[in-house]
Amino acid sequence: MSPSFGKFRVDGKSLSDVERLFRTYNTALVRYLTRRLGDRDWAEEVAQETFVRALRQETITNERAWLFAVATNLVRDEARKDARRRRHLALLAEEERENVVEPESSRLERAQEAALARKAVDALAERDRLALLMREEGLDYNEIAEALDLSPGSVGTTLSRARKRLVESYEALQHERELREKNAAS
Amino acid sequence: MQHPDEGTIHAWLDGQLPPEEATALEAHAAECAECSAVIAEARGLIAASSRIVSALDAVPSGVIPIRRKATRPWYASTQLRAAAAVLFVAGASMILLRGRDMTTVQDSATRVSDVSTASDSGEQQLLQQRQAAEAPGAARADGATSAAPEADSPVPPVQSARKAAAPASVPAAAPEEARNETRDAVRRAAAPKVSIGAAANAENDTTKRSAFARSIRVDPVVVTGVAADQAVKLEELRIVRRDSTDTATVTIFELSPGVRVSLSETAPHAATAATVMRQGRLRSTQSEALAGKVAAVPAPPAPALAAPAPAPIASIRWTDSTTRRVYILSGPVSAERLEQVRALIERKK
Repeated sequence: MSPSFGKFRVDGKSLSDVERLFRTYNTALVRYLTRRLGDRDWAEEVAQETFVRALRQETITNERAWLFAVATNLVRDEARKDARRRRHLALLAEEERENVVEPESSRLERAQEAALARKAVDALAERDRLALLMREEGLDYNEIAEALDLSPGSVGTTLSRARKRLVESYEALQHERELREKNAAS
Repeated sequence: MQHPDEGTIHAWLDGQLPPEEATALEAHAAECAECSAVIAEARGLIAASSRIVSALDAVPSGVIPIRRKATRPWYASTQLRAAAAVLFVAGASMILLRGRDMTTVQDSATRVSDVSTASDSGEQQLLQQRQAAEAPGAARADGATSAAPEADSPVPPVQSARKAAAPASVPAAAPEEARNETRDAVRRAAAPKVSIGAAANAENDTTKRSAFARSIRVDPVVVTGVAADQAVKLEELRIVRRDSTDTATVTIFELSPGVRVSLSETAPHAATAATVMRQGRLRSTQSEALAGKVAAVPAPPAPALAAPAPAPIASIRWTDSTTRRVYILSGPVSAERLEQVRALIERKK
C-alpha cells in the first residue's frame, strides 16, 4: 500500500505523485513520441495514456526509463495496428510538401528539412531508432537498456549503428533532392 | 586497451564509460592516429544525427505558398510616381518660368502639343503594331485609355508633356483620370495650334480645379530629343507585367521610363501552333508572326492627324538549348540593346 499524501488515490500512486511525474517528464516524453510518430496529437495521446498507467503502478524505481518504456510499448502496440497506413499517408504528405518549387521562406526550408529528417529516421530499424530518440532525450545507457530490454553493453553499438545509418540516409536523400532541383531548374 | 570498437567510442563520447575505462581510452587515443580518426568521425556522427533528430520538431504544416507577385506599397506604384514627378516638374517650372516671355514659351508649348497630338495617333499605330508584334497580351485592346503608360512613345519627353498639360497639380486626381482628360483636351482642340494652357482652361468645370492649375500656361518640359535607346548600361530588369497561357508566357520589362520590351516564351511544341489569347486579344498564328510583323488589327478609329514615323521595333529570337523553349524579345530599341536585355534575362535564370 503506498502512502496516501494526496487527496485522491487509486491503487498505486497518488495523483500528486503523478502530477510530479507529469511536470518532470511530459515535455521530453511528448517530444520523444512526436519524433517517433511524426504526429503531435498522437504523441500527446500516448503520453497521457502513459501517465494514466503510472497512476496504477505502485512503485517505479527508475521513473524515466519506466515512462519511456511504457510509452514505447504503447506505440508498438498501437502502431502495429495501422502502422503501414499511417506511414504511407505521412510519407505521401511529406512528398507533397517536398515537391516545392522555389522555396521562399526559411519556414519552408525547415519544413523541407523536417520531411527529409522524417524519411531518414523512418529508414532506421525500430530498435535503433528508439534508442537514438531516447538518447536524444537524455536517457543514459542504463535507462535505454531497461526501456528497450537490451543489455547495457550493447547500447553503445546500437547507437553507433543508428547514428551512422541516419546520417548516411539523410545525406543520400539530400543529394537526391539537390539533383531533382537542379534538373527542374535547367 | 587495444583499439576500442565503435560502440565503446560512442559510449565514451556519450559519457557513459566508467571512469577507469574512460581514462584508458583517452590514453590510447593520444597515441593512436587511427583511433583518433574514428573518434573524430564519431563526434561528427553524433552531432549530425542530433541535428537531424531535432529537425523532426519542425511544424509539419509548412504551407507551400502560391507564388505571389511581390506587392509593393501603395506609394511605390508607377502611376503615382509618374504623377508625382509631373507635379514636381510643373511646380518647379511654374516658379522658374514665371515672368519669362510667355509667347515664346507658348509657341514651344504649342509645338510640343502638336507632336503630342500627332503622336497620339502615332501612338495608336504604334500600339497596333505592338499589338501585332506582341500578340500574347502585351497591350490592352482598349489601348486608348491606358496607352499613356503602356505604349512606348518614340519621344518620351512628349509623353511627359502630355502629362504635364493635365491639371495634374490637383493631387487628388487619379493619374489615369488626368491622362484621359489630357488626351480629351488635346483631341478636342480643333486646330493643331492650340495652347495647352487654353485646353486646360477649357476643362475648368470641376470644382477641384485650383487657381494654380488654371494659371499653368507653359509646358514645363524641355524636349531633349529622342532618347528611346539609352546609352546607360542596364543593371536590372523590371517586370511590368506577365501573362501566361497554356503554352506561352509574355513578360513586359521596363528598361527605362516609357521604354518597354516584351519577351514571349513558348513551349517548343506550341511554337508553331495556333494560340488563342484570353480576353478577346489577338489570335496569333506562328510565333514567327510575333516578331515585328504588322497584322491588320481592329482598333478604335484614330484621329485623322498626320502621324510621325514610329520608332522601329527590333526583335531577336533564340531557342533555349536545354528546354527548347522559343524566346522572342522585341521592343522599340536597337538589336544590341535587346541582346543586353537577353543577357540579363539569361543571367537571372
